[in-house]
Amino acid sequence: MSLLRPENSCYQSQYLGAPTAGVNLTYTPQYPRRAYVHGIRVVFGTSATVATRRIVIEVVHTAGTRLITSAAFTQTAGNSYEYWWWLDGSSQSDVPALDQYTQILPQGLYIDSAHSLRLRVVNIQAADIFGDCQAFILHDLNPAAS
Amino acid sequence: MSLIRLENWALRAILIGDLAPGVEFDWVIPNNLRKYLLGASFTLTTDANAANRRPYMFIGTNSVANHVTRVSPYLQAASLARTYYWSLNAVDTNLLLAADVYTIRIPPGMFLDTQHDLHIYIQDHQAGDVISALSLFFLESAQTDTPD
Repeated sequence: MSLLRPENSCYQSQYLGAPTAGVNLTYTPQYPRRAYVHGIRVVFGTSATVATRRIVIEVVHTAGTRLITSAAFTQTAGNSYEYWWWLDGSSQSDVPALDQYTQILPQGLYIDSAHSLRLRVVNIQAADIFGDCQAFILHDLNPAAS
Repeated sequence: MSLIRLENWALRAILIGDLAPGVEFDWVIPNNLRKYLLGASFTLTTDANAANRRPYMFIGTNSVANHVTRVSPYLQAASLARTYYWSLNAVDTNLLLAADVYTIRIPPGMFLDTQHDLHIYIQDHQAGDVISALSLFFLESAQTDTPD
């Protein structure tokens, strides 16, 4: 449950951008917007380079401090998996279909113009790539801006 | 989760930094501010004394008994450095980033106001153990009422 008041904010599906190959996914709301993340959907494709990748969700402060982490299942070389995180959801593999993963998104993913949502891939390889990155978020505006 | 509305909340990250050897963390909430804890992180470096340390977090008050909110499921032996990321509703594991990095779940409901202190204590803490790179992440709003 969010501490934002829904009547003063709006839910929306937010496009998170398209990182180039080998780069982690980062999304930062533009001031004065703030957001509470309810859900994330990404496709992650791995190159043929042998390594075990794992997506870790973080909130990153502009000073570089990482404070919140979560994780997906591990993913090996030469695969394309679709991940669905939802607030306090379930953690199931190959559900609802093969190579689709539903994941638990923990509470606490509040972000603003100084705090970014980052999907960091442990052991990311140069040709690994994110695609179709979206988040379901509750937006509001920082009162200090009004 | 509380039904309290933090309509004027702001995200805050505070770097406390390094504590002196043997010192644990007590944080008194400043007047007229209410906080909701989202995360805390620090590195614990243990000295050579044989003991199994266990970090835990609790809320203290000036009038009521302390409330232990979360005890680490992990023990830390002598002469080790371990980094802890306490995060709201995260999964307890050390498999995310590296074997010496632990994520630990903070339960919902860590509201702190001017009558509360936040404590991070280390069970079986030794004189040469050091907490370093301590930072806190929280929502903050003005406290408009006063405790009874």
